[in-house]
Parts: sequence; structure tokens; C-alpha cells
Amino acid sequence: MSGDGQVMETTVPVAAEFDSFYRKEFPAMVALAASVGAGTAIAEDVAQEAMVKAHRNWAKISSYDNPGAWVRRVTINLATSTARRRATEVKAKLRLRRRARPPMAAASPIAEPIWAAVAQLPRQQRAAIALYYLEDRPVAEIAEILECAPATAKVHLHRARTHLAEVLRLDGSIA
Amino acid sequence: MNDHDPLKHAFGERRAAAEAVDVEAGLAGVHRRNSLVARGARATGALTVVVVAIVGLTWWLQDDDDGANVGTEPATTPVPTDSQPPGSGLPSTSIPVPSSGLPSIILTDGRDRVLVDGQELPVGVEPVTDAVDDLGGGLVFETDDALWHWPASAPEPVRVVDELPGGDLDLIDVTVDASNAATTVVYTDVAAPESPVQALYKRQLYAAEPVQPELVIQVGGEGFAITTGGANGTSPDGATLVALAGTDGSCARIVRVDLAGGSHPPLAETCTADGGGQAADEDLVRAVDLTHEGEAMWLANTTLERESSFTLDLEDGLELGGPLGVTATLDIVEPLALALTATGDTAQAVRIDLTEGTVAPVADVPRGMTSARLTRTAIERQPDTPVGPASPQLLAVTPGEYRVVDVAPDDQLNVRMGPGPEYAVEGGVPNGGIVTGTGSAVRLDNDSVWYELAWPEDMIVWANARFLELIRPASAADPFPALPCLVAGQEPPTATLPQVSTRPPARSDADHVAGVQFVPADGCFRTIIHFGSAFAVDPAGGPAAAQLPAGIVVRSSDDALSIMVELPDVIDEVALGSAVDAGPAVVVRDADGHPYIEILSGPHDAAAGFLADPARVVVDYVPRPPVPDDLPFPLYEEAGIIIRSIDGLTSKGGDLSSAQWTPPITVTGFARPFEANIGLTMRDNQGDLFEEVAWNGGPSGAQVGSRYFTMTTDWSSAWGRFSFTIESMPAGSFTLELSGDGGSDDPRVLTIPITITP
Repeated sequence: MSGDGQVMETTVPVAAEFDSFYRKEFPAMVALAASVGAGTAIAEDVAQEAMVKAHRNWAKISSYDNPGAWVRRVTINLATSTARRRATEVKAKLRLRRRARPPMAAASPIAEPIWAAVAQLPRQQRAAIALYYLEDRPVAEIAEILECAPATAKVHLHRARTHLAEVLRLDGSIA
Repeated sequence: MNDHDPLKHAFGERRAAAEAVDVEAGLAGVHRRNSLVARGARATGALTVVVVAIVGLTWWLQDDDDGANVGTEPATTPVPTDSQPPGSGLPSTSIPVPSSGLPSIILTDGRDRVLVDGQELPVGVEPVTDAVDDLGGGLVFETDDALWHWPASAPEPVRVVDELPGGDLDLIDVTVDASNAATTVVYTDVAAPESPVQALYKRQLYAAEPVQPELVIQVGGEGFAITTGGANGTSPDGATLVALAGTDGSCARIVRVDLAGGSHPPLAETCTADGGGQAADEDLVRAVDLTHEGEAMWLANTTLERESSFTLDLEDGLELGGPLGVTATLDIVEPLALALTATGDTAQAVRIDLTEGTVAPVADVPRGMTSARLTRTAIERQPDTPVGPASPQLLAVTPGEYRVVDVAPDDQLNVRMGPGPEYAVEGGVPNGGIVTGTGSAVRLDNDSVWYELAWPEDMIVWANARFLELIRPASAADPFPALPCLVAGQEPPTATLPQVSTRPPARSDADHVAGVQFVPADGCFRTIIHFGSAFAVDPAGGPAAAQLPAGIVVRSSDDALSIMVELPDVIDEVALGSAVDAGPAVVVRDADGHPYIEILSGPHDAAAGFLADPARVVVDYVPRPPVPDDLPFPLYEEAGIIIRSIDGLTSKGGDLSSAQWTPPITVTGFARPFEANIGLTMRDNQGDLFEEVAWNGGPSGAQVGSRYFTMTTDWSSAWGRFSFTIESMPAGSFTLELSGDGGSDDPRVLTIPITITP
């Protein structure tokens, strides 16, 4: 087939670029998925779904200024969309049983009430606080990922932390 | 961040846990899942128009040099609302279609290599080589999320089970009943050597919902591990299954599973120490083969034998001989049997005619192959019979807006990653929803047509055209510019635009404001509010404002024109905020949570009409003559404060510096401050804080002092309403500062001169 050679020439570096992207970002995506709504049991699969989408559209996504923002957005959407999460859960449960390695470690007992409180936050607040604490991202980057104004991101952060402080009765310990 | 911050601790713990995930395994999974698409894409080098369209199409295109289509969708697959489980459609590119059209001999190394009639299967398709259907013939294989069966009678694989059962399982047997209406799938768990489990699942083929496993059988026992590929064979009546070889390293065990009752009595057990055991059931006619400690064990009739040299005496005395290679297998599809023989560096698959007693080599076997399977195709196939469906057709359809129709209220139209029900669902659109067709379509072999649609995130998706109705071609001009002004005294709507109604929508599915558009109109200013879906509109029309629905109110006051649109489901504050940038209007969330649109361009006469499809409200407004000395409300502060009105004015004077006020003075407006706070500061004419102000209307109630605050009904990028009152203060000249961030340090301060008169 005449087109094969050309395709191969261009796809090899692209594939390598994606692999590098995946290796760099995947653990962060897993943590993000677990934190914004997917939980530890299926976080890996949610992140994987996002990465599969990124891979399928890599030619386009790799041209973005910040492919990481795109894949984080998709991860958040997947993890927080009830319907999508449910579909992913079904697959994840199947795969979990099929794979030998254990899933991502569950939260420690001391962190469980925190995650329960985080789960009660509105979607954007969950995402904002996860990006802030997991990845130490500045507000501007959080805003870019969430596709909102920096002021909006700040509001989400502030409200999330205020709410968590109230719910968890953390007097002054949340910076 | 505080080091003792418990949130930091919790998130840190989570981040550490995520670092432990197997990244390389995940990466391999991505490549594997997308490998099928990639293969197809390579086959369609000429089709470079739309990447995703290629992805969608390639499942219909054979991965060969000339790109010939081989087709997929079975004609028998019903495609109603696309919500039922798919019945077919494995990409043909996944299986190297043998020249004869259907598989007949499958060889495997027991790990990851499988040859189907000499052609190697691609990565991502895992054939279940021990699960060749005895009844229907054909090939059974797994993909990432489904089990497929390629019957001898079908031109393509059929999705048998959408949800694979759990466990680290190897599929060991599949039976399909004569009507092809049900399948029994038997798995063995190879991941639990301490507690080997064999799970037996029965599932209905094409069931609307997955059927729970009817039968789960645990066999083996402590210390017994299930050997892979170690069982096959059902009894002639299909009621029992000779299954399972378990080993603890010295002994092997065979059981017979009662498919109906779930019992699984031991059938035979043999140990290397004593050389063998006896099968208990003389009714067995199928061979069970397994490897054990590098040797072969055969169940021929009723005797379990362990062989280190390969001599098998079949019923008619037929003898296959020779030194045993790594292993050897036998498969029988009466009246044929297939044996894999291996001697030294060579191996062959031989076909044994059990009736004639003849043996004929059928294929050379590459090194490493350890198992051979014979399908009924090898017996029943008519080589001269053309196989494979016709090619799918590429169609050109009208690009433009399509409405989803004929979908039940509690259902939605699936949009998929490719043109067919076997593709992953990317999303759904309820009945009445509007989608954008790109103009590309595919007609499948069952005559169903799938339209390519534009989708968020620059994606392309597909949906069954049966549920799509063209409502506006992309080339068609928007009818609104031609719509006469709706304001009384202007030209009324005409019959040439029957879709315009001034009656309220009988039903509104609109759940968000998609945009606010300002367009020219003859004799009016015109604002069009776009919603995400359709209105049901009475085309008979009627009077305007008096019959606006409860959810939509157009209000014209001395200050501004408000279009109140009650959309309680609107939660997207970004969308709300973005609309304000479109022109002199603001989409505001009111205190009760309802957003509404306020046009901030002074007093107007206004009227509204509706376009049903897609849903839009058009508001026409005609400015009233200016009032002499009127103040320039609304007052803008670009960073996010708008003063809509100030009550208590005793003398306008034409500008703020000349205006005079007498308390109570009520200030209303809109803002999008950072934290929904509006800080108020009163200063005297020297710029010092003035303490003698009695405030009210904010959340803290009545207070006296130089500072006060109130709250907006929304924040950040979304506009919220605010209001506060200066109940009393002495006469004099002052300056009122409104700060968008709750404090005077915020640079975004709107300053108003206020002159108080007694």
C-alpha cells in the first residue's frame, strides 16, 4: 500500500511523543481522577480512558499549547460525569478482576473523612482543590484546565477550602 | 500551604498511591486498544478528509493493499434507538480473513501468538483457542471488552458477551445452542492457585441486559492450580462438560461439570508418582488433553493416560505416532479430528478423518505453536461460495443542524465513535436535541445510515440517521434578519415566517442559555437568546408580552429592559458570564437562582417572539426618547460592577456630579466579584472615611459606619444582582466606593460622587 511508508515515517515520532506524555502524566491523572470523583477503585481506568482519547486524537492534541490541560479536563469530565463514570466503572470492575496487580491503594483511615467531605463539594470545586493540592498548580493553570477565569478558579478554591474546614472542623489548619 | 494542612496530607497520600500504578502496563493498554483503529487508518491512506471519519470507516475496510471493502454490519442486526447491545460488528481488520473466507484451523502457542489459517492475529484480539464452538463451528476470541464468536455460517464475527466475567480467566469453552439464541461461556480462573475457581457463566445472546451468572462452580481444591488450556469437550447431549485439569505439581485432576445442576464430581485424577488414574464415567466420548510436567495426558474414552511418547489409539485403530514435542493437542469435530504433531524442529497439523481412517497434513506449524483447533468450517465450508457482505457506501448528505427525533422521553440517541452500534458510545442526545451534521454519512450493509456529527472537544461522532431530522442546512440563511420588528407599532410578524410565534412555548426543553446575539433589525434593536434545544411553539401566533410564559418575562422599565428567563437547571456560570461580552446585556443569576438577561441600554419599548427550532427567544426593543437631565445609568465598571439604578434621587442634573440625593438611597446593580462580596466605603470630601452612614440591605443587616458590605447572587465570571440602602446620613458631598472584592484594597473600585441634601 503506497500510503504505509509515509504514515509510518510520521507516526513513529508521534507515538514516541505520546508515550513520553503518557509516562509523565498518567500517575497524576490517576490521582486526579481518584480525587475528583472516581475514587481509588476505578481511578486508573478513568485516567486510562482519558489517555485513550488523547491517543486517538494525539495528532491534534499534541499541537495544543498544553496537552496536559486537555487530558486533565477530560479526566475530570470522565470522573465527574455520572453516566460516563458508571460506564467506566463497569469496565473497570471487569478489568480489575482480570488483572493480577492490585488497584490503586485506598485512602488511609485518617484520610477517609476528608475524602468523604471532598466528595460533597461541587464538581468545579473538587477539581480546583485537587489540582491545587495534588499538583501544586497556580490558580492561573487551574483556571486554564477548568476553562474558567482565574478569579473563578480562586473562588472555587476558596469555597472548597472554607467548606472543608467547616465540615471537618479544621480550625485554622487549612492554609 | 500549611505543612499541617490535613488536606495536603490526604492529597499527598493519594499522589503517592498514584505513583505506584503500573504506567508501562497502562501505556501498552492504550496502544493495544487503539491498535485496531490505527491498523484501519493505515488502510485508508487515501481517505484523509477527517481523521475521525477515517477511524470510523476503517473498521469496514480490509487492511490490505488495495483497500478493498469487506463489510460488516449483519443484515439481521436491528438498529432501533441504538440503545440495545450490539449484535455484531467486529472490525474486519481485526481478523485476517482467510482466502477461503472463514477460519478453519487455528494454531496458538498458548500465550500471545495465534494463527488463523496461517495468518497471524493482530495484537488486541485474543482468540480463545480452547473455545472453538463444537456445535456451530467457528472461532471464539476476546477483545478488550467483549467476547466474539465467528460462526461458520456467518460472514463476520458476532459479539457474544459484552461484559466478560471477572477473575484472571481463561475461556475454556463456549457452546451456542442450535437456534443461536443463547450461549454458555465457561471460564477457568488461573490467577488463584491457592483457591482455584472455575466459573461457569450462562448468558443470553443479545439480551437487553446482561444476565447474571446462573452458575458458579468452584472446583479444584486446596493446593490445586488450574492449568491453562486444559479442558474441552461436552457430552453428546450438551448437558455435561468435561472440564478442568488442575494440578498441584504432582497430580492432575479432571472433573465433569453438570451444566444444568452445577455439580462437578471428580472424573479422574492422575499423579506422576503412580503414572495415572482411571476416569469414572464411561459415557465420555470426548478427548481431554492437558499438559502436565511437560508430558501429555489423554483421556481417550475412559482412560486417563500419561504419555511421554505420542501414540494415541483412536477408535478405529488409527494410530498417530512419533516422539512428543513440547506438547500436543487434539481437537475433534466429528467426523474429523485435528492433531498437532511435533517432531524435532518440525511440526504439522494433520487432519484425521475418523470415518475413513485417513490422515492428511493440513498445515505446517511454526515453532512454538502448542495447540491446534479445527473449526466446523473446515468441514462445511463451500470454497466456491462467495462470502462477506457487500461494501458499505460513503454518502454525501446535507450538512447543517439536525434535530433528534423519535427517541423515547426517557431515552437518548447514542452518539458513537464510529458509524455503527458496535462503536463506543461517546455521549447521548435527548429527543429534540440539536446536533450538527458534517455532511458525511455511511450506509451500512443492513441499509442503516449513520451521519457524521460535530461534537464538543473538536471530536467527530456518529449517530443513526433514522433519528435525525434536518432542520436547517448549513447554507441556509438565518431567517431572523428578515423578521420584522415585533414591537407594537412596528411591522407585525408575517405569515412568511410561520415558525415565529409570539405565543409562549407549549413546552421547553431548553436547559441552558447557549448564547446571546445582537443582530440588526428593521426599526428595532434585536437581541436573540439561543437555547440548547427546541421549543414546542404554537404556530398560530398571538399577542406578545401578555402571553409570555411564566418562565420568560420581558420587562421594560425606565432603567432597562429585562428579559427574565427562568431556567432553574442552568448551572454553568461560565456560560452565563460569557454572554455579557456579546453586547450591552448581562445574564444574571437572581437571588432565587434563576438566571435572567438584562439589556442595559436604557428604557425601551419591547416585545418578544419565539423561534421553535432551534429554540430562541427574540426580543425587539425600541429606545424611548431620552429624558432631559437623565443620569447615565447604567454605570459600568469594566472589572465587574454595574450600577443599574440609584433610587432616592431628588435632582438629576444630567450627570452624577450634579445629582442630589435624599436618603433612603437604594443602589441596585450587577457584579461578578471574586467572592460575591461588594464592599462599600463612604468618604468625605477630604477623602477620609466618613463614619456616620446608616447602611442596610446587606447580609449583616443594619449597621452604622464608613464601611459596609453586601453580596451578589453570583460571583466570579457569572453576574449576580446586588442591592443595598443608605438609610440615613448627614447632608454634604461624599464619595461612595464600590469594591468588587470586598475590600478597598481591590483596585477594581467604582467611585460615585454623592451629594446629600436634607
